[in-house]
Amino acid sequence: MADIPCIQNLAMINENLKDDILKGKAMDILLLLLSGSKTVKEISKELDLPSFSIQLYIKRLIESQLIKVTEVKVVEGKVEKTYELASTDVEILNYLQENSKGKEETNIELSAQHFSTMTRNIIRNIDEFKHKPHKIKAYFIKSDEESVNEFKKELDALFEKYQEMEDVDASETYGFISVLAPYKLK
Amino acid sequence: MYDILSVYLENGLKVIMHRIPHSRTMACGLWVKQGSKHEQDSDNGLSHLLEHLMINIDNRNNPRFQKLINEVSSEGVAYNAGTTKETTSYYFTGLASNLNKCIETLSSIVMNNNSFSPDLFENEKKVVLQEATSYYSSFNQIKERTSQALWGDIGIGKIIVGGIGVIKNANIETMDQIVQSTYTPENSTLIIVGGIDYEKTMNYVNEYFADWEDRDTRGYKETVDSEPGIYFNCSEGSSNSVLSIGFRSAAYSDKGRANIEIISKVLGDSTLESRLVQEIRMKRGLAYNVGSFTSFYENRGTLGFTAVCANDSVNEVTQVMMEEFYKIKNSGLTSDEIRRAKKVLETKKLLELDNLVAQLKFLGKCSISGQLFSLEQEIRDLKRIKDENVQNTINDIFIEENMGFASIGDYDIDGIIPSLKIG
Repeated sequence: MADIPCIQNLAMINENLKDDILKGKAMDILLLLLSGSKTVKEISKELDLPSFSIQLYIKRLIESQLIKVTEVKVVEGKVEKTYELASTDVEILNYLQENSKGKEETNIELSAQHFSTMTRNIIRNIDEFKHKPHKIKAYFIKSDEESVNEFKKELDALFEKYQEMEDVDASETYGFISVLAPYKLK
Repeated sequence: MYDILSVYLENGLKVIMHRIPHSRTMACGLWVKQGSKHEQDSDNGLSHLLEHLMINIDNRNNPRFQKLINEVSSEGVAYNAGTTKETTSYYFTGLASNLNKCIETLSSIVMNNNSFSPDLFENEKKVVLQEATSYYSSFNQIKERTSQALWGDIGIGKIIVGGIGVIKNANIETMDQIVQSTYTPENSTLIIVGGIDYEKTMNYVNEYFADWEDRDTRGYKETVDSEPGIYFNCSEGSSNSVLSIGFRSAAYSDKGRANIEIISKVLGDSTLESRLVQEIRMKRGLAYNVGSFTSFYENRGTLGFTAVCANDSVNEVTQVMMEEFYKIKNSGLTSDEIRRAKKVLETKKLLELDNLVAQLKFLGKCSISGQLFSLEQEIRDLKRIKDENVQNTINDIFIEENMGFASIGDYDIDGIIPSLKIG
């Protein structure tokens, strides 16, 4: 099994989404929404990106069903929509967020990083810190939904175990990224 | 002297009459406050479909209307109907001697055309679907898409022809509900212009409209998106692209409306002298079709600038437009440009004074804002505009928070977004 090429290939799953994630902006929005639902204005301010850019990515994320409108408020005849993640099964940074000491720090963490960058950084760090514990695995199997759901429960348990290892006073930071999703449904 | 009379019938119907001395012709129409802005996703397009049904001369369920429309047509009367974002209208133009029958026909349309046979209904749906498909396949939709980008897919951002699926699934019962809740006297205005006698005309109006049942009208609260945005439809294979940059602007009844019309003329009038035509077409050869438009509604308005260009020129054209917005914001318009634009607009309005249908539509538009204007007053307002008034309007409008972008074609939207900056 060739680990790294497999991870690179993952980006080919969804052509539209691939672009967004690789450019980082769509993923920035996703990560920001992990901390709660937000309006376009709020996202624009927190990511320091023009409103038009945010709207472009919001449109694509909605079309990809990754986010959804959660609230529609009407104030003086003007509608303001609030967006949130479409699925609660996206937990990339929940743990980082919950364990951050201050809100400000959380925002820095969430806005400064995105999934693809983190993935690339981790892979690069393997070369630099070869003696430190690391593992990259990607495997594609044919299976049924029920079996994969069973496996998902075990993965959740493994994540919990990993989170329990957190020592906020430790000097080293480790990352554990997992992606489990349909690759081809036909 | 602009001679105009406004009265209400006991059932709440507003009647506006404008007598034009020595005229042998007349125009009359009924404006109902029901358009796409009153619709939701689930019924978007039904006001327009209903308009088609109401004016359909094959409606055998209303033989009186069929007889009347046949008689007025035989007398050379021309009839038409239209749906906008805010109104549905039905109107007739012809010799003044036909006024009586035209008013009777109008009453028959709105009071009796509430029953349609399944055959007629399905056939008209097909016609409207063809119209909608043709509209969505053309660049003509760019003006409405600009309003959609500026105000959202809600209220005046809603597209008039509506959703294809909505039209396909429309049923007769829904049409009747719209008629019952919106085609009411208090929600309508009857407008009559031309060589008319006020007393006789009022007698006709009373004879045919006094029995129109005074029903309650559905409520409506206008909403729009909190901030402007973008509309884009990128599809591979399009031979060229259309783009439009729009700005949120004042309502129809706002005093600054004429200033906005002047800005629109100077910047984007399709004549060769306007700034955008000079920069985009004459100097750079980037587009053949460059223009501007204004759309004024009851509570807000849209000022837009459009260009049809090669796919790979969309970004450059956008940048040129943004540079021109920056220039007028910083340096304003010249006195000569303003004077010329005022003259062009004045001429246009004077020509409208000689056009009965234009007068009718003007008064129909006024009826939406609940105010009465006259074309003479419009000309007076235009003449009184000073250069500093125009500059103040420029400063109010040309800000990024007011701006929206719409485009259709084969281009890279991600590459264009960073160009959407004034300065």
